[in-house]
Amino acid sequence: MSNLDDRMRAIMPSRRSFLHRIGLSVGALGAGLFGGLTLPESVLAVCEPPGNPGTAKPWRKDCRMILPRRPASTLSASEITQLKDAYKAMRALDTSAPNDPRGFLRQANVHCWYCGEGTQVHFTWQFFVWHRAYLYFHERILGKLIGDMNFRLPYWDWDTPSHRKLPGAYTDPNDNSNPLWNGSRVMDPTDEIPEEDVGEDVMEAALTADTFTEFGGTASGSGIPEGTPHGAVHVDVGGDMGFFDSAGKDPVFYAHHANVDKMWSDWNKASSIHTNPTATAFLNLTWNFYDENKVWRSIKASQVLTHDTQLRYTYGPSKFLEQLPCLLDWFPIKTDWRISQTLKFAGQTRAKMMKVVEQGGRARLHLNELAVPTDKSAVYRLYATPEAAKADEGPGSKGYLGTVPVVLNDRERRHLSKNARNIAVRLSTAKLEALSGTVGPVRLALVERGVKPEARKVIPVRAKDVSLSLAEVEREER
Amino acid sequence: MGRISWLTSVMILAALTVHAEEGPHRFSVDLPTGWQQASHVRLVLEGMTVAGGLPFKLQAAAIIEGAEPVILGSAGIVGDRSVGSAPRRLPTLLIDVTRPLGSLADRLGTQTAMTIRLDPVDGRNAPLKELDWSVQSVRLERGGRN
Repeated sequence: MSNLDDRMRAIMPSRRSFLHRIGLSVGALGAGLFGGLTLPESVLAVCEPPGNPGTAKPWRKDCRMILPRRPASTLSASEITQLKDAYKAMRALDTSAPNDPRGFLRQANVHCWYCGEGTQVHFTWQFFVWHRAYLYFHERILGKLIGDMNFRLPYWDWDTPSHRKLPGAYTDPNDNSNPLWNGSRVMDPTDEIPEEDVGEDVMEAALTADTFTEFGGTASGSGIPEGTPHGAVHVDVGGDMGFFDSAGKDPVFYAHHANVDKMWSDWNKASSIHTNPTATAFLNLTWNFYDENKVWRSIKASQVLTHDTQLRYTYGPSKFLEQLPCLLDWFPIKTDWRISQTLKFAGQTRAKMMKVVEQGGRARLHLNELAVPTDKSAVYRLYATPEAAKADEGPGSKGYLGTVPVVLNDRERRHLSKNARNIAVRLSTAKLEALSGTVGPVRLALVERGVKPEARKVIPVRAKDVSLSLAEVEREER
Repeated sequence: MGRISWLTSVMILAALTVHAEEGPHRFSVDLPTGWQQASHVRLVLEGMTVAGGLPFKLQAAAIIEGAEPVILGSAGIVGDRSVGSAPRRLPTLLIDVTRPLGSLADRLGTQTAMTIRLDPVDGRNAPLKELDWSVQSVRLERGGRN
């Protein structure tokens, strides 16, 4: 590896300030220093903050009809006309009312503003949720401008192999008479997004990511699909789409991100364990946008997590969900937990489950009516043995099975939910080994996450029942 | 230091960094224990720095002796004009390589490490040979809830 980093760090601050002083253009310097690699011709975009209109009014409730967003490549002629009319009206505001926050450039600059230093919504768990909120208000504005609040944004379903070209509406005609056109695109109307950017490998990897951390990131890191397919498509389209500050200036940005949003929706649907973060820090993430009536609104992450009921749109079926491992029916396996409060896991059951999982099938451990402490919000880790719980070495360690979050309803530590807590944990081969590697019956145990070793209290699992389930994967006859 | 001489020194330094490494970046990485059975295997790239704010894709390929490179996947990096031509430090990049790596299982056999080549490419997958970049850490790790 080169020691470029150190040298770059050494020169960075003074070089930037120097550039400002002498007023060299970015493109010119790029060409000079880096062998002809230059930024596109357009000058640095005017990245305006959304304004300072005072206190934002909280977004309350959407009572529109729940309607589907549809693939951009399958829109009817009248739907394409409606879409173009909407963007035409939005672009018209750029000249007729440049200060109208619903104008196209003002809308594009919302993305610019939220993608800069200090307000960057990329590379963290804000990525999916912020873009959902942004597109939501953008969609409402488009609807208002054509007098049809039933308007829904289309999505560019580049994950469908036959839809990898830019959707026709955005390139026909391929000139500035088309309000969906953008002249800076590198991608031609006949080009296709490469298979390796949006193909099966990429989509399955995204949709089978086990946790939101892997799928959507954390407070300080991004998830897998933000790079590919999301970022790759930005790069492939190129031009304005290639840069944070200008991506919103290409109307196809909104169709692209609608598909990214659909991917999140599909991930949620793909498995019962694909759940969004429940941390207060995530749920209370708040951003401000102008709505269709130019009212400055605040909206929280918690207000956009279920797009159908909260934001009034749905998506069509996912081809990739259909292509994920096709599991046969789940086969329940009873245990004698109700009698012994322990789990005996060996012999034929163990061998069968191991074989099925190795062949691509799935196995689960179910804890029904699990008793957990409800004196505070906390996350408990489930281990195969009390010893492993005491050591609490976390995910990936021997004996670790999963987590059991306990979120109280409010700061008064009230736990209003009386529903039984039923937990299902997916069992990998490693977890199956952990369950079968103990001498005698398995004594499941919980321990609160994040507690120092000396204060760690191992809690034997108390549950009404513990069972297993198994699903073989459907395999083609050969 | 005068402005002109300062600029000259910056340009010389930059020219040196452009040619600091010839050819594509190759890395020997350990294969995680039990990778063949893992539900996910990810290529983790940490501490990546790239000169300037250009958009590009970083493409990873497996290098196996006597065979064509096998593309493992890529990560798309959206451009950022705000950095101008200054070095840009990227967040940790994750590339899921589960399926392509699985297809190499027979050829990798019992190897405990493999060679991975990383190439920046443009939207049409043409190599960006002149893009200067570096990475501090490249590794494979098992993903999922294992």
